[in-house]
Amino acid sequence: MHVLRVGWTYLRLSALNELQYRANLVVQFFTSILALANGVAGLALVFLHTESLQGWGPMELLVVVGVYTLIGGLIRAFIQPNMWRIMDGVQEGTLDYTLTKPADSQLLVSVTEFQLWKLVDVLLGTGVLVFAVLKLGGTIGVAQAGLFALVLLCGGLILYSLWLAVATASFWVVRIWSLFEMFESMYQAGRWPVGIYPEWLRLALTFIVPVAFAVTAPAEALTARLTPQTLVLALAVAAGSLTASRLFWKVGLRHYSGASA
Amino acid sequence: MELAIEVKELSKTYRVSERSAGLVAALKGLVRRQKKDVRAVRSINFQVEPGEVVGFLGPNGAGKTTTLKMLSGLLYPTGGEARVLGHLPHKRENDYLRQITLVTGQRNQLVWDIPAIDSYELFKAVYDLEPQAFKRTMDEFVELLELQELIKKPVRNLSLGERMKVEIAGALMHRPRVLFLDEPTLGLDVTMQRRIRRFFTEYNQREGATVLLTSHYMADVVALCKRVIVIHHGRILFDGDLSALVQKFTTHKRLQVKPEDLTADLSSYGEVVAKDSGSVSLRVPREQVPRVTARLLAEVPIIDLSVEDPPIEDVIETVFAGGDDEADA
Amino acid sequence: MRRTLRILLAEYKIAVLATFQYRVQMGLELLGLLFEGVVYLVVWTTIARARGGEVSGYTVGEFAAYFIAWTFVRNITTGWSLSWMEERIRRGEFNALLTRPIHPYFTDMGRMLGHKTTSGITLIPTMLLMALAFPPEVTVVPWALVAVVPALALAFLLRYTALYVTALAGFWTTRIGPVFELWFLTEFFLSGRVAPLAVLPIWAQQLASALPFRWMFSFPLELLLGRLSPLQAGQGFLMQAVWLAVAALLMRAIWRSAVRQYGAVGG
Repeated sequence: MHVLRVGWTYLRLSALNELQYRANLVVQFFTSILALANGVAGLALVFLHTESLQGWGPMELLVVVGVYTLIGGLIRAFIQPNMWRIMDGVQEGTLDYTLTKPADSQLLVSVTEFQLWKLVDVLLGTGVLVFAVLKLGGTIGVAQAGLFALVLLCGGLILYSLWLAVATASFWVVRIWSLFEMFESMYQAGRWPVGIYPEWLRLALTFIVPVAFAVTAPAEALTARLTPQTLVLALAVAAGSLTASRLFWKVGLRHYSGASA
Repeated sequence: MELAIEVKELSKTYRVSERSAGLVAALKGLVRRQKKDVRAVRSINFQVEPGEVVGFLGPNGAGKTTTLKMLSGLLYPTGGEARVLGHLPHKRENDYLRQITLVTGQRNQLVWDIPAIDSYELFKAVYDLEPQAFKRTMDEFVELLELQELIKKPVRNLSLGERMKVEIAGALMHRPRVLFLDEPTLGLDVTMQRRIRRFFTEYNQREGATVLLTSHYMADVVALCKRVIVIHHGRILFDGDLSALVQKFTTHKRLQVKPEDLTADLSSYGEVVAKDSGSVSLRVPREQVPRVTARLLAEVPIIDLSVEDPPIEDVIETVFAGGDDEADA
Repeated sequence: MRRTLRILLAEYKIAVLATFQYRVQMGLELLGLLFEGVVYLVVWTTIARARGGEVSGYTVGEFAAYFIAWTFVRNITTGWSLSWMEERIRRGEFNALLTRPIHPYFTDMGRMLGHKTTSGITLIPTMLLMALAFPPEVTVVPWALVAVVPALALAFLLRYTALYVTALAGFWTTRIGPVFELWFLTEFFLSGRVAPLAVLPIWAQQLASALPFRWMFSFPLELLLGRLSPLQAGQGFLMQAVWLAVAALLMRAIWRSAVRQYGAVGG
């Protein structure tokens, strides 16, 4: 299908290009290890004083850190660079070129850039959570892995939709970087399971910056905590947010083209 | 033969918020924004046959870019209708977009960090080009524009002129039937401008493509277009042959005189516009040219004399000045 | 000296006016800052509650107070990063600064303080909201509240200078980035940012006191919360002064070579 071919071509070319810069891999590796060390040291500090954090034990929290790192890597590799590019494109007028191409504009703006080396975080994150799950005495069965992947996918799609919506807002409010940065900071809350936060904050972290779906839910899937309600909610919100963000994107385009909206 | 471009009563009006200076106005602006209508394009009409190369002339803010954007589907018209290749551009049908291209000077569409040849691969995927045809086109353009070495380097490592060459090649890779060129030679040196003009001419002749070009540089228009449309304040002031334009709007002519005596004062014959080593340029009203020429030849010892049309820029300015009077109609 | 102060003040005023325009954006950035504090607050109060109300001498309410004050001190001590300096160089602004008859160190300081004034004002309602959501337990120690002012000033100067030195080091190689990430990681834990230093194992606390990190952040914070005796405060000031001197000397030593390096690489 045309759409898939286009997406794949962009991905392939970006990756091939990035492969030339092997030094970036080393730097990325170092940065990722440090970030991970940060997370693990934080956990160590917490468990110096307690045995469990609201029912989550050390290895279980390590799973959360693993998922957090993994998703972070996916966002920084696939989503974030493209969303920043949309904002730049609106400001500089280079978005016009995208709009004169015979392909879906949302697709084009979402796949232009791919930061290959950020996938190191995906690798590290996966390694960490596999380690933690094994330490918990569990084995990773196919069903469990599948469930995990499904919930992770939902979380990823929800985050993508959110980022796209924020980028779309730049059609109206050009200086939107601060909003991006705010979301990034809010995302930090994902290092810890959202259950520990007070009700009002938990709601914000579920529906405003969907950390709950992106990090906690997949972690729950791996630690046998996932409730059917959460799964259904994740699926529903994923479908809903994809639809909503696409609609919003179309509205944004109409505004950009000066159609009387 | 079906028209390539058909424009009927096309209009575009923008709503802009007006804000005057001062604290009071700013505060008032918080509560109620003053809006003003800017009529960028006012009910213009024109038709373009396939294969024509048409130049859009007009000062900044005249409505040229707005018109181009409406024709390429980037802007919704406020009124009237435009049809390009039988399609309504603002619908942005894929079938339509596959046949057009937009080139804007100084704004790049090639991906910055990768070699141009990779970006061309992307275009191949996006435009769904057949591999053989794609290769043929690329080879042809590489030869025409001398891109052999350039396409392998990352775009950011190229100079401005080189970048423009690879950009243009990329923009035409899908062999579009209609080209919208918005100031394509902006900022380039003279040699490069000529190079690029030659390329567009080649392409137009080989493919029979329709070209709509806006430019500041008269040289672009003179070199490429037989037909010009002059736009000012959103209205078409002139639509026709470039030579006809000069004819119609020339109120004065230039007399290039080479007198024997260089210190001679020729101001009684006409307005002295320029004087350099060897010749004097006189600006003389058209009707008076035969009489002034006769007088000069009779009264002043002259080595050489020629009658010329004024520089096209002057003509255009006259056209614009005329347009200014109609502006607020 | 007086000229420097005058220019500093001028830059300061302009920065306040300029950043006032962007208070909405600033508000959003501050929300990010705030969020970090809230996350730690929740984590540690959760632990404290599970442990019967107290961890390492901090009750639930005292943790709340710590992290609310944390937001305030963070605002004062945050600095611009290596990447900001790189961005500036890329945009050619650094050239302009170098040609002025005043050391960029001071120009930047004025601007930074202006920025912080606006963000500080924007921060006050946020801190009040935080206090509503997480009721703090506050001990008011009058002399400490007075002592906090110079402590904050010194903490700011110390961190600002240290960051400036690290940014300059970036002139030599961008590979230095990871090295400073290590610095920041250490600072993260040893400055009292992640949690009150009291919560750290003893060896870490000692390390924190020996290194400059405690004096850049935790010290004024501890003072503000009334947790230090006058003697400890005095010792703290001494440490701040010592490290500031070290940083200043480093700054002077590096500056000349940095500018030369900058010129050599072609700016």
